[in-house]
Amino acid sequence: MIDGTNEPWFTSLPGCETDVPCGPGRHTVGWEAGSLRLPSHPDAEGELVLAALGGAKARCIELAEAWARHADDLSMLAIGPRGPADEIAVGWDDVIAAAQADQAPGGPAQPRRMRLASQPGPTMARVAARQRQMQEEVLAAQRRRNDILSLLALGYGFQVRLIGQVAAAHAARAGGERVRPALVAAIAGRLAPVAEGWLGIDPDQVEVSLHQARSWGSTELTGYGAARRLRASLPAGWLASVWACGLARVGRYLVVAVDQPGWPDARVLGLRAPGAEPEPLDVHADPDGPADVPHWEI
Amino acid sequence: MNRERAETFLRLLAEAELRGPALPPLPAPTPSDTPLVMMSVALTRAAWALTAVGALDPETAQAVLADTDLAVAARHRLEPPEAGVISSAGPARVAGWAGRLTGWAGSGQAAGPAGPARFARATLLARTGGRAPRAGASPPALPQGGPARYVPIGQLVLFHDETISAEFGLMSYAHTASGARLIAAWQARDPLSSGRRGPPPVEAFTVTDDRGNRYALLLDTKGRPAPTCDLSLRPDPPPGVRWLDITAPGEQAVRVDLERAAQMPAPEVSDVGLSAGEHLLNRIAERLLTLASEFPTQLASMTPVPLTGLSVGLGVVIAALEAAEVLSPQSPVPGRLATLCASLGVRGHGVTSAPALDLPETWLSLLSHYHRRKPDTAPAGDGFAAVAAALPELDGIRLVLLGLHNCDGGTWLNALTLGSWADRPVHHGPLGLEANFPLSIWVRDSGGRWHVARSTGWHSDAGEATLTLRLTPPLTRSSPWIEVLATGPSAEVRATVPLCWGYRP
Repeated sequence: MIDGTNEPWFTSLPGCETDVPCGPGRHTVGWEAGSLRLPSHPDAEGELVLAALGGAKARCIELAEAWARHADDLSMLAIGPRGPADEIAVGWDDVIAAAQADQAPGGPAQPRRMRLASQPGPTMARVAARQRQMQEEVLAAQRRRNDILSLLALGYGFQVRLIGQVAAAHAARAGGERVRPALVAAIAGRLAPVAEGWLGIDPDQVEVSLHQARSWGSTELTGYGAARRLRASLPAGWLASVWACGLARVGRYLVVAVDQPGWPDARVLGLRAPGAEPEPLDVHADPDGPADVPHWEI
Repeated sequence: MNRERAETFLRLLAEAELRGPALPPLPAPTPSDTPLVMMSVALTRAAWALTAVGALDPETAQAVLADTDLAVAARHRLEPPEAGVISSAGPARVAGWAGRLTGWAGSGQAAGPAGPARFARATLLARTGGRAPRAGASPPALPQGGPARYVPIGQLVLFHDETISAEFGLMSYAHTASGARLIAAWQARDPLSSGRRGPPPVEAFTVTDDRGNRYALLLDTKGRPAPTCDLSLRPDPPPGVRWLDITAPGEQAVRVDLERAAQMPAPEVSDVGLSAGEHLLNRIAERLLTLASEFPTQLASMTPVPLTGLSVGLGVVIAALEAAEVLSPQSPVPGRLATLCASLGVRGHGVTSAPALDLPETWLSLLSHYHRRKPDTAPAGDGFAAVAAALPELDGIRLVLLGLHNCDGGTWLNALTLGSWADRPVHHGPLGLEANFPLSIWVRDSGGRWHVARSTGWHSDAGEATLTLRLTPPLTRSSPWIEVLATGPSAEVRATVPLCWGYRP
């Protein structure tokens, strides 16, 4: 995804890593330059082949698969965090418990065998087919839920990077009616708390539309009191190159675009006030600060 | 209709829910079948309303709710000291869409089980990628080619033996593509006491026609509440059969004339000029009017009626319909709804429109009945009326009235609906409105009073559905005729239907 530059959206993001329970121990999982890294599994493809032959699949490998499956899943925008203060309380205990619940006797995916009094006829065949279909649907839903829980359990740093990846994927496609509502809500949900800190406006008074031209978009503040509104039109790429990189608000500025991405130095376009022309700002992050939540200063 | 704005509205509403009041911590683990997390009623009702008017397909609405459900669940923390403890509670039940819409009656975000059940229900939703065709996009076809014959009867068939004394009040005869049957109201008692009995053994009855053919009778409730039923004829009589002789063991034959014509003026069909949103709000108003009858004391004393559970979220529903452009901001219906809520003392609805004074005649009739200091609540005695009236098709639904009966202080209309709507499973929305029967039905008696009709029984079978409608308030006397007003999303039908009252069933 390009944001007015030829650099990928994650250029202003440092790598990050976390520990994941895998097998009998814990393994490091990392993210670097837009990709998930599994340093404890140098031959991930070989492990996948073994798993396909009936071997156990390591959790790290499952995580990488889940990441790939949800790299353009708009649900991650709806479920994932809206900002650093929006804490997701999902841990590995929850992931393990949910998986165990699926496998418990009587769990949602357990097949229910029927004792037949007579040879199955066409009706029974249809019933059996329907049962199989329902079971497959339940299994797919469980896998999806467990995928999402695992991705959330990776922590905030990975969560925002996945949100950035999803947003970048859809920004590049210029999706239509089917994806615009989800993107509008995703931007609104993340701009609103930023705008609250920027202007002191009630987050419910922030109205967002999806900007689909090459420019950065627009902002406008109207009305007073209960009728006060911040109307912002931003592209889906803002979620990736600005918000996911921790750049949404730097100092007293709302950052609306990245002019020259980079880590730990970048040049962005910031608004001092709604309706103002964006100003180029040179921003700097502390390379020794927490990588999960980069903190930028002018 | 603007589907994109409809979905955007719902997603933004979910965003507002998520950043709303601080989410409460999870309590200690509770039984595994407790719902996990309840989102606000407003969100689920907005989703239902947008789906009901066709502005949102059910899959999209379900996906939005499922994502919100998981997002809410993911933000709950266990209360100390349970934090970090995995509960032994088993997996929560998998709740479907219908359960989601009908079962979440609470308000606000309430917590449910912890441990495995915390996420067990939250996202059990597989994504299929494509969207299903929108419901109601094209009018469903009515059954083709089958014989259709509806005859009013109004006769009594008696049966007595040493264990049972029974009567069948035959209201009508219907022969459609799915077969021939007599629609009847029955009553059975123990002859030695006043105790009620089950239906008499109709399989022992003999049935012959004018051509000498013999038929078996099968009793089938077909979703009709007791004491009504369908008496199916096997095999089907030929199309031109003139009469049937029905003989109960030890009784004289009762000749049922099948050439009797239903005396009914031609129904009037007219456009209603209602938007889909207005039609839905009218149906919600009718639901409020129906349920209010369960609180006669409060109504008579003009004290608030406890229907907040039904009215909560109405303001959001109106906003959702406006966002989807199926309800004009200038529509008078939200204001009428506000007036209705005020008249009934219903609170917590959130409707911000200024109350309107031009309430429909039907609503006013019911309100005046409710607020009468000495309401005429004495219902008519038990009885049945022969009716056979096939109304013109409305929005793909053909309604056929096949009898009316008074019983136990209530009045019921027995009906049949034809059309592909009839094949859909029964699905009640969160306000108790039938998603697969989007008609509003009112009945005016010969005294000029209006009665709202609500479905109490539904049985689908091969493009037909038997339907029983309960009238609120019940008829208070044996009206010689009724005027039936059926309103669909695009048009309304008015039909004056003569009632031929039969004997006490």
